[in-house]
Amino acid sequence: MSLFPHPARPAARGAPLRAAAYALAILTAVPAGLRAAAPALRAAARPPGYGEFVVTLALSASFELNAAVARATWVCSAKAAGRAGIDAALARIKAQTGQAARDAYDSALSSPAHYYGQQTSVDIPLSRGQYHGAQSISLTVGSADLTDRASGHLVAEPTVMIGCWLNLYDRAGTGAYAYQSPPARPGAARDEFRRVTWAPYVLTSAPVPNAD
Amino acid sequence: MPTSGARWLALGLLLAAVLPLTAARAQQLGAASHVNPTPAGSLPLTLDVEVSLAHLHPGASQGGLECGAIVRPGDWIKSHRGEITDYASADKLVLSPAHYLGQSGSAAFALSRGAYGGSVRFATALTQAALTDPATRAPWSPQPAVLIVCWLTLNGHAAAWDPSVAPRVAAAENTGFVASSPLVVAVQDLSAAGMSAQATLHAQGNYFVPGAVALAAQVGGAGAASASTATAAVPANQPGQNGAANPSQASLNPQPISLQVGLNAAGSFQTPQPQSIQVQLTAGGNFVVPTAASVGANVDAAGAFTVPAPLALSLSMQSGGAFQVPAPISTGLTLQAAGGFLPPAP
Repeated sequence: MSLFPHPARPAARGAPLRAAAYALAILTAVPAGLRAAAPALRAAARPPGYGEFVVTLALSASFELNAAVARATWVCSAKAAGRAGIDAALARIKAQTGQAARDAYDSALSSPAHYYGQQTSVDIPLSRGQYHGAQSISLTVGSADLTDRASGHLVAEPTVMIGCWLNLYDRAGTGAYAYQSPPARPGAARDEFRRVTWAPYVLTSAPVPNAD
Repeated sequence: MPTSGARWLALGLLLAAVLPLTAARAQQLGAASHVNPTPAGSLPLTLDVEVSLAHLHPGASQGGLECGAIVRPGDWIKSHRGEITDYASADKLVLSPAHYLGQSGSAAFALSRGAYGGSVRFATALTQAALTDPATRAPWSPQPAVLIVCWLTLNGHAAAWDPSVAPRVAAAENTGFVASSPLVVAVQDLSAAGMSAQATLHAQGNYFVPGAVALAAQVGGAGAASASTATAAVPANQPGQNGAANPSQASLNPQPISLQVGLNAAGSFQTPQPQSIQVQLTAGGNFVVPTAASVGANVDAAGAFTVPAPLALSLSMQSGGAFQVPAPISTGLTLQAAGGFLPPAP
């Protein structure tokens, strides 16, 4: 079974309501003084966030970067699914190193998380190219991936994975994700500053509890 | 004045449009909770439903019973009662005909935290038309009885019955599911003195409400220019590095790392006092030491040792907490003696 079986992003939840509001506004075309009815339509909408949940990662890091690095960020992504799917995705990523790990990470987590708006970027306060500290990173995750599309019910063992990948930029603002690689040969590439000797990401998972 | 005339005209149109609607709504709401003034020749009917609801969708705030009553021969009721299995059949067989006769209504009640417990009353009156078979224009026979049906509504919509064991994820679009039947059916014999029936409705939701998740992890290492002083491949599923399979262990609280130092001296030498060995553990490669780890060991010179060559110390590092080291880490040490070496004892 595919981990990400949804072919298209679900429609924005407020869209039908907004369309109804617009239609109502056009049909009624009341004077400005009587338009107080419009906000009531929005107020009648359901409270937002049902089915969504927040995943928070306390991320401790300690590293020293290339002297050419001027800015570093964590790009963090979260994705929910059944435990089997999450475990398989984690295994695929962790079985790789270097660019292959990045590709696997992007495919299994970063890309779908970006698609569903479950991604955030957090600046890392560097001091002389070093960082030693901890940051709390929170993401709101939707419930769509917790629902089995065939049955409409909860997937088995709902689980969420969250990952953060280090992104590095030079003084010109040029850069992208860091990559793990052995020490470079003489005459290294221009993006040598993005190279680190350790895995530049963290990836973890946990069961999603039932708050009911 | 023309302006004033227009205003009166507008007001008149507004009242003409609003008043009938208000009156109709008041009549419908009145049917829900109060016995209507019984028209002459009609029979008052009440149904008290003991309602118990729990674990409904957290977004469900308003519950209700949509009810209707019709009169039919006893045999007809027996044969058709089993056909009422969902809202569509309830609507077709009872609610819609009852609505046509003015014998339907809804009784609303507020939900609190997805639950409700209490008695809900549906009251109506059976008209002469309801007592008459339209085909024969004669009273329903034989053994006419009243079939009363109520269907649970949540947030104004008919509840959906989902008997599946697996829960649904509580989302904005699925507030109306219950795991047991939202249907109430009651049969009451006709009585000229009025009728009162009782029923119960127990329904539970089966929702999964995703709760907040908190995790902790650690990452880092020396930069590209730094040579690793030690490397340790951390298992992927161990907490502390690129994975935390067990959420209960995901919160990293590094414990002191214990180093066991084994001193192998081939010969004999003697120290005037116990010697202290200090080891600074620095991070390199794939694991991180949040604070410099210092390790102490004492070489107790109780006996006499002879050291023909530089001392070889082997360290075996064991993880105390979040650090997971798959294999012992070997490193090289230089031993410096603060005291003086004594010559071998004669």
